[in-house]
Amino acid sequence: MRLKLAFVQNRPVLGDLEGNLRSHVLQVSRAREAGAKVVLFPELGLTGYQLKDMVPVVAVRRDDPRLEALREASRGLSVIASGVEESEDHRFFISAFCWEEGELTHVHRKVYLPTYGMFDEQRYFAAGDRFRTFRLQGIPAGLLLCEDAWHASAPYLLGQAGAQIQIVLASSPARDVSRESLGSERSWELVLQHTARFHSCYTAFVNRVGFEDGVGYWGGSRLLDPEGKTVARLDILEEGLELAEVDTDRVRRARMYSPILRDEKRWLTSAELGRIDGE
Amino acid sequence: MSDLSINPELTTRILTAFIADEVRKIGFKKVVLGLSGGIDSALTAYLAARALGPENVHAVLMPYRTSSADSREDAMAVVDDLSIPHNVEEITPMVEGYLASHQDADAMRRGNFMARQRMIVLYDYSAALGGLVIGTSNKTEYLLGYTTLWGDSACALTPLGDLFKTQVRQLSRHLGVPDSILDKPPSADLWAGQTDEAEMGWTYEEVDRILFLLVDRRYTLSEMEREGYQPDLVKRVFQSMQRTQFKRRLPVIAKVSNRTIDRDFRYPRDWGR
Repeated sequence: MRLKLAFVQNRPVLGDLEGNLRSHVLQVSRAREAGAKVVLFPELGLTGYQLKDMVPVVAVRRDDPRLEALREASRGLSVIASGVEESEDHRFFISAFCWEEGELTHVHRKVYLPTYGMFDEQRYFAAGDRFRTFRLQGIPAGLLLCEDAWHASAPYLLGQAGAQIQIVLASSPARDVSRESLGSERSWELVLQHTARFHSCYTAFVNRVGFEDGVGYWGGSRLLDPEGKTVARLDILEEGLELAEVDTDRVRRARMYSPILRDEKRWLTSAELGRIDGE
Repeated sequence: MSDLSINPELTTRILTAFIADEVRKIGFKKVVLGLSGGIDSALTAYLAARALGPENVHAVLMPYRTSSADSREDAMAVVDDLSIPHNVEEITPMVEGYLASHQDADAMRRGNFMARQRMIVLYDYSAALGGLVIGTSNKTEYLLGYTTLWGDSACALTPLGDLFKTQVRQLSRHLGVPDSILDKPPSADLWAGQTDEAEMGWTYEEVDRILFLLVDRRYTLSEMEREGYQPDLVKRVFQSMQRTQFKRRLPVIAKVSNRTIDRDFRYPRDWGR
């Protein structure tokens, strides 16, 4: 089975939920015209990243009427977008939503909230507590939000649960200009290749661009095939929309040649984790 | 490791994108900049011209009667090379108007007074032309506090603020800043023959390596000593940094309410942008 993914590398306006929603809907129709079956947006694309005290102001409930236009835009395809989710008990999460054929089919709440150096997420957000796969146009898939992907257990769990596509939505800042490519890009490349190869799955990375308080987000969104090769890449620092294709036959071939998934000893992992925890 | 080399093309891409983004999203298209003839303001002009187009970078030359003639020539070389609009505003009468009755003012007071007078002129140009004041300070100056508070430190955005002086030199060479500017010793040009390095008592090469290890790499003083750095020099650099912390912050606010600006009233500068 083949699936065309659209990568929307955008530049959200900080704190402008309505404006960002409108531009999301517009991008979905552009992607649809280009033939996309899945449209991917970056982490907190609906709100911007450095929200601080704006978090409660831009928060939405899953059934928020303001999301109606975007939900409607998902008829005939899938839309994966991210914003601030407010739970019934008024906790705020960084969430990624998947709408497909006009229905909300999956929500992932960011589990790992970086709170060190330039990041301050735990001050403002509650943490999610699960990694679950879902069907994306019929294909088993999993969602990760930025820092989630840096914890080896997160892609591992999605891989073990059967994900053939792992999608990472990010707001990754541009840092370290000492070498040929950005330091941020070099580290992400390693993480994404690791994810694709170790779990023989497609790995999609969608990162935003634009500046907030002097911090630049570097873009460079890309698709890696199940062998870890980058098959599509958007430029750094520029807005863009590009399509790239996922082919489940290639997942099959990768797993045939290199059956690491088949050979994984989950019982051993969980027994050893139990032992380590007991010590 | 204290290699301060940077990829100039990548750095230029980030800094020009930064200038274009931070200027335009708040509804401006121009910047106003004080062009001294030194390397920092020259490089800032080259970056801003790339980011916004030369017609949107307005240079103001603000000589004082003791400023060196070379400074003016070097500033004009930048204006000509970039074809940016410019004005010359002699600050001598404005400065003398005050200092004439304050003859006792020492070199530091006079220097600070000039730096703040230039700030006043730039902010008036900002209002007159509808352009943001773009700052020219670099990371070395910020960390050492080698700026005049509310003088040359006053600006809306500052593209070189995370680059050490030696990195400013690298990038300037890459972007074609005139040789006469690249080759001369850095100077605040507040009096004849003044140079930064003589005044501070260290070279930028030395101090940049020390600051890079202390700040970027978070080395402790004893780790610095093990690396072969002179403890006295390292301590002096560290103390300059600590003593001038106030210059890098907003004024301290006395907390009396439940929600105090910047303490528990927390919004990014780019709120809603």
